[in-house]
Amino acid sequence: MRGKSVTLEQLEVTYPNGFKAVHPTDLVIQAGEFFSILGPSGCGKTTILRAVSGFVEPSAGRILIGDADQRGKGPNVRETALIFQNLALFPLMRIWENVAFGLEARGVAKRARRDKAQELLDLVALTDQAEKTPGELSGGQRQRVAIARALAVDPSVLLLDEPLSALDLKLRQHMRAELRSIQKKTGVTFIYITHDQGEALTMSDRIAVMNAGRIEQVGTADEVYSNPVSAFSASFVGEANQFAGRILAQDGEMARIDTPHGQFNGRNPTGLVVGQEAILFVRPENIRFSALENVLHTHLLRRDLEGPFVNLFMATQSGACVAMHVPNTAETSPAMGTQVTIGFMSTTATILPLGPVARTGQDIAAE
Amino acid sequence: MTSQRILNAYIGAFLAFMFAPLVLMIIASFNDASPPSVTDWRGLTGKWYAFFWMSEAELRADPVLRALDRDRFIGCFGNSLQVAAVVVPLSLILGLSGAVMLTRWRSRANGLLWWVLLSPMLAPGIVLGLSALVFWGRLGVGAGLFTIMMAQVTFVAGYPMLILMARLQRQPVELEEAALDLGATPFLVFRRITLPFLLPALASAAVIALLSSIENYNTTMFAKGGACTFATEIGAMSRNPNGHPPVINAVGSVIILITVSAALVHAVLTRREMR
Amino acid sequence: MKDLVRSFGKGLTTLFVAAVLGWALVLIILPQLAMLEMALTKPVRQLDSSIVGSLERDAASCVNILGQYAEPDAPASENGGMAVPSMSGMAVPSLSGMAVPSMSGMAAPTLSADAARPYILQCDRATTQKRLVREDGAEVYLDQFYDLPLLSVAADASIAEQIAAAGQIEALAAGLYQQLLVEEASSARLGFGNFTAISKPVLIPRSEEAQAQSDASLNGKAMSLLGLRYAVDGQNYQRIGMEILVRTLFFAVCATMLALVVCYPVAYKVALATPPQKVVWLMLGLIIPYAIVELMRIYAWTSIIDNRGLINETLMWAGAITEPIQFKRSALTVFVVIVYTYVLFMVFPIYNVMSTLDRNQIDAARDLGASAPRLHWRIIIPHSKPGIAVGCIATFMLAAGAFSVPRIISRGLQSEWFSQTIYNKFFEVNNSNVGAAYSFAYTLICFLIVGLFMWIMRARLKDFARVQ
Repeated sequence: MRGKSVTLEQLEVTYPNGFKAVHPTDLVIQAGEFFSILGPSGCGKTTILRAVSGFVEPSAGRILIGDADQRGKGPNVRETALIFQNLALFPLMRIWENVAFGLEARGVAKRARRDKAQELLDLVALTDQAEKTPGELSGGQRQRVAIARALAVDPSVLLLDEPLSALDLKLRQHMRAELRSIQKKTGVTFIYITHDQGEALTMSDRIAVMNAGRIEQVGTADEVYSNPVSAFSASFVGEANQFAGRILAQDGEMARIDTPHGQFNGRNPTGLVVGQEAILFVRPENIRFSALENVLHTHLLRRDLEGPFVNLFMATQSGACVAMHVPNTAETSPAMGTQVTIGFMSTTATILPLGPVARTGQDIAAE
Repeated sequence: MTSQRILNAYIGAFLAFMFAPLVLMIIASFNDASPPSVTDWRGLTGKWYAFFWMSEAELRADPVLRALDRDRFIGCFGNSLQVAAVVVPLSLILGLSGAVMLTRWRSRANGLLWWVLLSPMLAPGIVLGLSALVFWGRLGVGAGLFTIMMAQVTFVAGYPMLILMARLQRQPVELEEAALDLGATPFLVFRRITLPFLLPALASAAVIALLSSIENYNTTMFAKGGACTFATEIGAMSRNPNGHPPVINAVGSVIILITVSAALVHAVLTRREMR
Repeated sequence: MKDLVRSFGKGLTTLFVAAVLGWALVLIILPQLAMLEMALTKPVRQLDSSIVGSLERDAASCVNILGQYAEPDAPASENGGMAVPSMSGMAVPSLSGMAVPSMSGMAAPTLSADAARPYILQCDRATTQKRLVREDGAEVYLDQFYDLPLLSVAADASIAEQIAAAGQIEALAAGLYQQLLVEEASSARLGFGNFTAISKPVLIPRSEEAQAQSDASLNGKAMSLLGLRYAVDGQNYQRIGMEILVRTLFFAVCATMLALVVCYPVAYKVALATPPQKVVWLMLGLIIPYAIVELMRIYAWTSIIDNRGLINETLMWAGAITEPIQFKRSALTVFVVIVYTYVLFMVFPIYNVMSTLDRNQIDAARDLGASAPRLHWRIIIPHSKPGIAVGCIATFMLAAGAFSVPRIISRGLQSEWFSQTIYNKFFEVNNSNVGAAYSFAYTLICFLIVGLFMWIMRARLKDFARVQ
């Protein structure tokens, strides 16, 4: 295990134009962990990455890699390696020269550089491509060159800035698995920046959800998906139906919320008290065609086929639109316009304090 | 389609306008008449070209050529090469520095620097020659090749600057950052990443700087003092009320030939690249 | 600056900053300041001390030359005409009826028949009744102003008396010269006199007939309208410097507009209306004349416009004219050749910007039913605006600063273009302070015009880098 931990202590970044990209943040990333920072564009996640790699100077707080304070260290002396969104392969150098560039900078002899480059190219399955130039490779191959180049300098921490965003869907899914396996093989700490929840959920040991310069929640993929702790987390990771209202009653872990569409029970992880404004979140896959603990009377508005699953949009009498995510089996689709009763279990719903929520496709379409 | 045809005819006329004087110049360079003429044909001759290598005796025998000072002409051309040998490298260095400062220096004074560095390219050429003459004169440097060099560098450096700037702006900053991140010192980044990236632009900037240094007349005329260059010597031959010697046409024709072949090679290379 | 050090390191950054500072200061700013200082300095020959100094020298030479006459065996008057002022600066009147008068106010030699000596210029000039130069043109004489006795070398006196008189003048002048040098060194010598010289009216001696002809010409009318030509008490005055300046700028603006009109279709054809495979060859047709040495492009015209050139010979052969037309003396020829020489500086900037236009936009506009003029007006011209601005500025500055074209086309006979006026002022009349003022003022005016144009076009200096 050669990875090192990364610790942010009250890290704060304010740009010269006065924009506060990162509000004071504490975060500990374990050595050898695959850690993702997930958030919409402009949330400050790239700034954190650039601060860790040394391109951005924190305006307050400090960054530790292992136990070493990184203050005053330039990017060329830190034990980090960064993989850029556009990969930033050197277009005029051959592949092996690209991979060996970090060694060249450290004064390693040419023969040793060539050998090490070959070793890394073998690791990323590009054995035969050493003499080509970046322009001659495919997107996925270039991706792997960038990884090999970053690994060549034996970094303790590998920073990845949405490296898969330029690839097509199939390749992206393949590269997810590949990245994960390289991380396991090398034991290097990976910090992975993405706005794609699918990437974060599939690859990461832990995820930090970030919004507007603040980290909203840190946890494993399951924790973040199933037990969100903020309105933003709940709405940004996965899809969720939202019912805003006021807390009616509170009983231990559970609470009851009064909304214009009815009264519902749900979990209350943040300890909301009676009278507080709140939102109830329930995921589309947790809504069923039966009168469960919480009931809604609806009719079918629209049906979108997604292959193995069907998205159903149900209109309530009070005017809300409820999304359902059901398996594509014959008996699950009611006829258009017929009245149906749907419901969900209280344990699958989460009531969270009122706060900023991520915009969904439906919001955008409604505008 | 008719509008297409009108446009084609217009382009044809435009190109004819551009090329006709050049063609006439070449024709006149083979006519045994001085001053050069295309209407008064006195027979085919190559002597306006042979001027540069014919023997002293032949030279003295010709009524037109013997009035010309061949050694001075060649000496002036040598001066031009000397001037270019200083102007070209100096303008590349200044142009590169200017390009880097203008593209990368984030400051309020950046806009001012734009105006200062581009002003020589905007100013009338004569002004640059004169001010170099006056300035260096005050420092006790007499007019001559040195003032020519200084006056030329002032504006010639602008061409490499603009060319390199366009290239620099196209280089993603991430390339430099990636190299830094991999542990390279800034100097290594410059040597291994930035400079190779700029190399084609540097080459074409050098060619343009060389051409504009050699062909420059307006600025050089004002800064030259007693010295001469290729361009001023060619220009001086016009100051003859009876017309210039056809040797100029011969020189011009050679220049046209060189330009056309260089342009053809360039075009063929470009086409090959496109395929 | 921090960014630069981080990207390039201390060493390279220092080099870059030093190079740019050197370029900006030593090559651009300081020379212009030196120029400004020179422009503001009174020409030395106009200072009182210079006039007194030359009086001292004249008196001394007079004594010397007269001394040779006093000794009978001395060689005769070979040295007599030694210091005749030069006539340079004379220019031949042009077709447009303009004459540049000689600037060296010549004293008409008066050779008296009964002189005891041959005419000696220096003795004639050795008089304390010298006119001093004043910026307001006031008539001030040396003897009155500095309270000197009115002395001169009488040509009809004996040689010994003449020597004594000249000697006296020399001594007086020498004393005053030292005194003036000290005074002038401590007083300010800067002023705007050289700048106002541009608009100074000059008396033009001209026959009534020639005057009527000049008044009738379009140029004459326009200049009178601008107040650059006027008559007082039957005498005709012209503000010659201003006239040439205005005419040069006018021609430069016309050349720019003409070049724009000529080049727009060319740029359009090459950039957007030609299949990519053929563009290479069309570009070749533009690059070749562009790359050929500027002087050669100008010389190429001489065999067309010469007295025995293509046009004249053709017209004579056709019987349209009997005498060759003096094309090389015409400002219009200079104008045409300037357009020819600099027209391609308009094509390339427009082409470079225009070719970045996505051709799909044109197809989309056509598909939506736009006519050809609307297509140009709404899509292509707005897109090409930076290129048009840069092309116009480049062409205007080249045309306004043109020196080679008028010089070669007119074989050095005419002084039609302001750049030539600057050259003449600076070198040929040895009036370099005024020349410096002309040059500085001209730069300023050109920059003002360019600045105004950029403001109107909403163009930015950065466009120059974009159109490369």
